[in-house]
Amino acid sequence: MSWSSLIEFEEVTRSKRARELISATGAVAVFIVLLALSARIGEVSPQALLDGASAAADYIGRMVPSLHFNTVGPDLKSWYWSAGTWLNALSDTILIAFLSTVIGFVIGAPLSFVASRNLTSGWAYFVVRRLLELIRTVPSLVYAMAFVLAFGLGATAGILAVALHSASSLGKLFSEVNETADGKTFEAVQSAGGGWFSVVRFALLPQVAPAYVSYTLLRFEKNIRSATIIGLVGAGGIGQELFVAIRSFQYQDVSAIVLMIICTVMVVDMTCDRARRLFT
Amino acid sequence: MPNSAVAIIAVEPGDNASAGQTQPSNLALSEILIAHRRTRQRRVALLLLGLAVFIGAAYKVGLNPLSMARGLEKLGGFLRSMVPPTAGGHFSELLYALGQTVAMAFVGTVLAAVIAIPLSFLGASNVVGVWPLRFVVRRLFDFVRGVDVLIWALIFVSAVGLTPFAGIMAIAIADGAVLAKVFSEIIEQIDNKQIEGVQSCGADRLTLLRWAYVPQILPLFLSNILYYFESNARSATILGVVGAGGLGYELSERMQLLLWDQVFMVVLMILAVVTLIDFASRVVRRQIA
Amino acid sequence: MLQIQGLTKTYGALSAVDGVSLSVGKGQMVGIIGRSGAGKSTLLRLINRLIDPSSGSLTWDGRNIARLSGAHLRAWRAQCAMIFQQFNLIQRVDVITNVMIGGVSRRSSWRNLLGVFSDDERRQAYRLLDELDMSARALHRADGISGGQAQRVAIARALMQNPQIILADEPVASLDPRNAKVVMDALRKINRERGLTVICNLHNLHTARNYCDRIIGMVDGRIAFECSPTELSPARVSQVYGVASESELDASLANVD
Repeated sequence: MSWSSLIEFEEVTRSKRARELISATGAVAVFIVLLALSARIGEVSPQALLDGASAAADYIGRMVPSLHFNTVGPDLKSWYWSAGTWLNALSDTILIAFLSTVIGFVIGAPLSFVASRNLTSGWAYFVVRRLLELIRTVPSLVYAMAFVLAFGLGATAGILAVALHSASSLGKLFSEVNETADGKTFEAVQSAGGGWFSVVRFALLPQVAPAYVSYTLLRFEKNIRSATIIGLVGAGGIGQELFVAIRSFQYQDVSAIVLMIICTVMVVDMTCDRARRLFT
Repeated sequence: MPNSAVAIIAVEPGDNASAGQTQPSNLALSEILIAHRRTRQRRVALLLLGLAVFIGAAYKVGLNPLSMARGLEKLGGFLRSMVPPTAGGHFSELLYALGQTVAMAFVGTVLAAVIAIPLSFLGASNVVGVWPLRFVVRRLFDFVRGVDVLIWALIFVSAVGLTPFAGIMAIAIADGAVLAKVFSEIIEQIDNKQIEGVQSCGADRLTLLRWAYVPQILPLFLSNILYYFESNARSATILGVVGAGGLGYELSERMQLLLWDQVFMVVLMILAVVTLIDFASRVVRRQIA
Repeated sequence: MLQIQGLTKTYGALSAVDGVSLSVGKGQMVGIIGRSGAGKSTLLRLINRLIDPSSGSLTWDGRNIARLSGAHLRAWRAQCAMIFQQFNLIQRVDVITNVMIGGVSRRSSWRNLLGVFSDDERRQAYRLLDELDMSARALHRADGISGGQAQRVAIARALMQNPQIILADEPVASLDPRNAKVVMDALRKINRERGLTVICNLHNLHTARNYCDRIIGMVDGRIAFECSPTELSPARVSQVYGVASESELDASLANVD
């Protein structure tokens, strides 16, 4: 675009503005059509929105416990009437997250060596890398549902589901870390007569260990969240208690359990955040 | 717990310690041997401790090797009956469910953005000077964010019934809070020079918003909305598990009936739709930047 | 005519501008010199009323502008254009729209909101850009042009305001010498041909001497002296900068830059 006079400039800008107007109108039109279509398929209407909002407000209103200043002790006691069971379930949830992170690490780390281009070549690299990517695309809840059918209700299904997702996710992340490792140290170990295992043990691991720790802690945070929701399909932990409370319309139980979950998530996030800073 | 996590990766600190000790010259051979033995002992002790914690935790939650073996056998049977995948004559039904999943993610994300934009201005420290209001908004973000979208979906299913609308509301609420937080951080990082530039021309508040704030924040808002749309498409696939419609509903229904070949079909469709949306959103995001 | 009497701006215990009194006649080009932190920038912001004075009076043609608010304040800002060290253009918007933003106060709110500009405005903006030799870049985005070009766009935006006075806060501090000359020449030309009052913060003495009719030295928020360019003696320079000679000042400024 160039011009030598005001008249030419006006011509150029006029056509440019017209083009911009058309594309902007087009984009807005496409957006509105898609939104209308989606709203229809998703069974949303302005009326449904209003009803939904008031239903949600009503639900939240019922969740608020009745705490009075004079009788805070007994009120809290009746709100958390089942505190023992819930705490037990909550500790199960934390343990599920812990166990599945450990299993995920133990399986994911060795796989990551195979899935790194600078350590493994040929079909093994390709197959393992793609497999890890494929497995991690499926949400852990889907695994949990299938595993509940195979292993029965309870924590075993949940641990294996979250561990499977963790292993693939950590394997993928670790392999990316491995690929950024310095190749000169590999050569040093190789020139000393070291084989593949020696290279991994003495050249790779010392370089990547801090990143491994950091990613594993991050995974643990995420697994805490996953471990709470897999209970909704019967795979153990606090989610199972929450599912029962929601389905039986025990509003105050719902708020009591949700509050416990939120506090746990916050504490774990903060702790892991601090631990991560120690290592990096 | 962190202790045992360290134990498994403890190879590294041990290495450093021994490497550090071999560096000074004139170190007696016996000293080196003792130092190495000590590192090895410490490493073994940590590993054993980690193992003990692991076994203890496994025992507490009832992780049973015997039932695991039996379950794996069953799982093998499931896997075998998954191939070849088939729609079982319900392909159009599944396609509609797929559309429902995408629609849920789309409308949910749009609503989330509509909720988030005004809240984000209230939460941004450079816009709202009233700190109690900002504090309340911030804590609300944190609170809502602590609850997974699936839990919101379950709550809304019991509030408005078995409809994709419950999933849409779950996404709108859960993501509204997250987006509000992200947006308010974007607003806080705004370049003040551009605001002053427009202000010094004598612009009023609305004009300032349109010409000083919007050009700076709009591209960042849009790319974040797209990013959350991607992630919502993923979560929308599973919201149906608790009854909020879409592919998740078809999936859990077929799983209960042990129709594994159809389950595989639905999983493949989930993978396809996730990949497709990732691709589309990447294209659009490149356009904006 | 701009008249300032005892103008003060305090931030807690600190006085950024401390009892400044000054009058600037129509069509003058005034340079304010001083170290960074001497209150030059705060003084210009007070005059444009981007910030409120703590005390003192500020009048333009006899009209008090120290306590303006709302629409009156915006109208004053439009009359009193401002040019910044970092240009302060809207980065993601094209050059000609940036210039048209200068006319913001003459348009209705909804026109501003929708970004509707008339052909007349577009023509005026183009002519201003042409005058500053920037019309070829009219459709470039402001984040895609160089610093010297951006400052000329900022001047065009200022002129688009149809101002009576231009305040320039270190307009050439971020530019190389060649671009600095182009920008200062442009300001000088505007001052001469349009008879606009120009008040300019400068940290470079040569620039101040070459371009201004009158030089004001500021120290610690106060006016230390007022003189003509020829009267800018070594004693005055050391009063403002605390160094013995101008060559020493050049050396120290070179270090700072």
